[in-house]
Amino acid sequence: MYFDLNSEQKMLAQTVRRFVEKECTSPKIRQIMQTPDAYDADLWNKMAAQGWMSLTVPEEFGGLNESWLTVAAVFEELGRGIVPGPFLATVALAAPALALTGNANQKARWLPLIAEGQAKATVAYLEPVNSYSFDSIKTTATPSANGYQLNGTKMFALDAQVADFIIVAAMDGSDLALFLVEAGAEGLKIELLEGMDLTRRLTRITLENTPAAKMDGAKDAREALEQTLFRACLALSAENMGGIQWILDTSVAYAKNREQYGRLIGSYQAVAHPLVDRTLELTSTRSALYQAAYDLDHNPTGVAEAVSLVKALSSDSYRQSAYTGIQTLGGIGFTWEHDMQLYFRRASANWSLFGDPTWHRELLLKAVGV
Amino acid sequence: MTMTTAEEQAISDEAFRAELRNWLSQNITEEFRENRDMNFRERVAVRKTWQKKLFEAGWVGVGWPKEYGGRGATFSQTVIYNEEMALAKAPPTANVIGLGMAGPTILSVGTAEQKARYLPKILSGEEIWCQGFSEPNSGSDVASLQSKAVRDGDNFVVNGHKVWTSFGYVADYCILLVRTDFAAPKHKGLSYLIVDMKSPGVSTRPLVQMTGDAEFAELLFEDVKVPAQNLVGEINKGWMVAITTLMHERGSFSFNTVVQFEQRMQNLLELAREQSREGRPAIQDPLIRQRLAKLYIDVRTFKLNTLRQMSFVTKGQIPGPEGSLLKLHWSELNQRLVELAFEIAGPYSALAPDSDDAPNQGRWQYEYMRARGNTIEAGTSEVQRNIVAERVLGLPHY
Repeated sequence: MYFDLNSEQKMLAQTVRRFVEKECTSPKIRQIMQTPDAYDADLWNKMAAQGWMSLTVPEEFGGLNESWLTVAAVFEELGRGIVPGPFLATVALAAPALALTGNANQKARWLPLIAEGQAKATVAYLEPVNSYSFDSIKTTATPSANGYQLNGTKMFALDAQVADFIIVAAMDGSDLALFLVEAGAEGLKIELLEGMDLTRRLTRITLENTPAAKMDGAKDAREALEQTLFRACLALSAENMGGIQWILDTSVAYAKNREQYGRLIGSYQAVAHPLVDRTLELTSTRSALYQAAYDLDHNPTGVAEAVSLVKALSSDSYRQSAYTGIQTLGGIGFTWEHDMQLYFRRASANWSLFGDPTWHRELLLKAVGV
Repeated sequence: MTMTTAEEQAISDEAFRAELRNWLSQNITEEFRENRDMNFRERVAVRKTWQKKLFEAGWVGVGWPKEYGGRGATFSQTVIYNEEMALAKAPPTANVIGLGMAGPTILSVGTAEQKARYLPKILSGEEIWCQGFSEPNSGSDVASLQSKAVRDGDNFVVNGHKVWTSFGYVADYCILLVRTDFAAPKHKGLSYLIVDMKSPGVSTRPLVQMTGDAEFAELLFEDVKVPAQNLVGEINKGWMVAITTLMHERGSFSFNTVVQFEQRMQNLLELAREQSREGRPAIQDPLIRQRLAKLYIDVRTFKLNTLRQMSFVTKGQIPGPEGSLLKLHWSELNQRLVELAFEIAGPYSALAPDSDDAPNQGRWQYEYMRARGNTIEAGTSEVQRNIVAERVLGLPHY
């Protein structure tokens, strides 16, 4: 297992942190979240210039193909700074899906564009039912003259409103398969959902005889989609961890300065002890995250267990931290003005994104043969 | 072709694992298994024979230096050791305080003579140790203790009263914290002594716990002569030595408890498979499954947290205040774990540990009660949270 980041990874994390502190101030985040798409081209281009869009792209397509531990180190800092936009969807969801399932042409066309920051993308797999299971996918794919046509409705697709292409899970007969749909395709309708998290968008995608290209680079599309979600869950868990860290740092700093009844409130055990409990959860999340990254990098048989474990743990811990953060700050923590609410909202949305803790705990038990 | 160091390490690690696994498969026999009719003294006797067996083969204190009977194992080998002991469901060792607290403290701050005299017999289990810190009026506030030692020629003369002393009435030696300067502030007048429990003037009385068992005792010291060379560290600087012991208790000790929790989690899963609830195995009940998964995460992260923290503690260094997080973690997760076992048993949970009708020979009912002590012994959860609040988070002292 990994016990810690190495010095290069720590330096990268520092670079990301400095970038975020400079480019992603609270007013800037609030400005971006007011835009319909929660997207800022200037911020996106600056991030691309840092090379971060290439982290998960294979080297042959101009990417860095970094270890998942390094990727996690970047996502932790982006989560700590609650950076808005389609980075998670593009880098942790679409790029791995494309690398795992795309055919040679699809990869050659799109992966270099992702690596350069020229293309944004996402994966749409859930539908208008209360289920995370691939078995509930009803969207159909039927062969046509130039490829396939898709019909159906996708829900909760992350940041599809700015995507240059969308990878859609659909049924090709009785087999699950992934299809590439380009922005502006005929019969493609993307509607914004009013989401809890104001820094990213969830969408409903309606497909009506929409032309699509089958992604036939993987033997088993179902397994490839599962592998994609392992990677997305790892990145999301790292982001959760960064969010917990911000909440804890902010709450501790406040408890060290705020005085009531003539004492600093952090000296009251009723205030201090919940912060200690969140510290333990953060420590556990970090351990679980490093283990999951290690497994993705080196130990394929441990991945399903480790990823579901950290997704379940980090989701619950992030939400709990946000509760404690608001309570520690008191009145100011409950205002629109304080950024604590942005973290609360992010924590609440991340909780169910890519499967909620109940779902992942069941996956975890199955992965360990229970 | 030359091998890299990492490859050599991997090969020697696997050889280490194979050797241990082979040894365990041949040496864990029925004579080392305890049964529920045994009292604490009888249990300790069984554990002593097992520890002796381990010691003779070099399988106890594997990370300790070779010169004192350890194996000088690397960190990764110590991890493997714990994994294999869990896998083999190896019996517990007898000398918990000696191996986890007294030994590491003597290794850290003891004199050469103290190391040579005490460490080998701590490892062999020949001499069982106890820890005399708590007193009737000094529980969490241990530095307020009143037991005293007065220098008299080559000896200290000790008078005092200690309580909640695990292994107290079966121990051969005690690490004893006493006051040697009553004028100094409370933390600055303490000294740390090694006391032979067979010395004249030492008396012990078992304390019966709510489980009915007597694992701990109270100790009385009446004009007990302790040779001056039994002082550990410097006179009146015993508090820092005590902190060393407590850090080991929370850090290194957690390392060893990982084995127990992994075994206990497996036992819990077995229980959930065996027990039927409303006509189907408990393990198929979605509510039980969710709670099993939460505990699985708890046990797994406790292990990973412990490994990650211990990897920062290079040989000979003392674990830091983060050890309090480990202590909090294991004590509270154990309470959740045994509570679930108790609940899985449904109406059978109402039976006492001694009942012939209780599942698994009443083991869970016993553990359910015993676990309430976990958040009190070795520093209460409240004290651990204060330590983390002040020393890890830097929050102000109350």
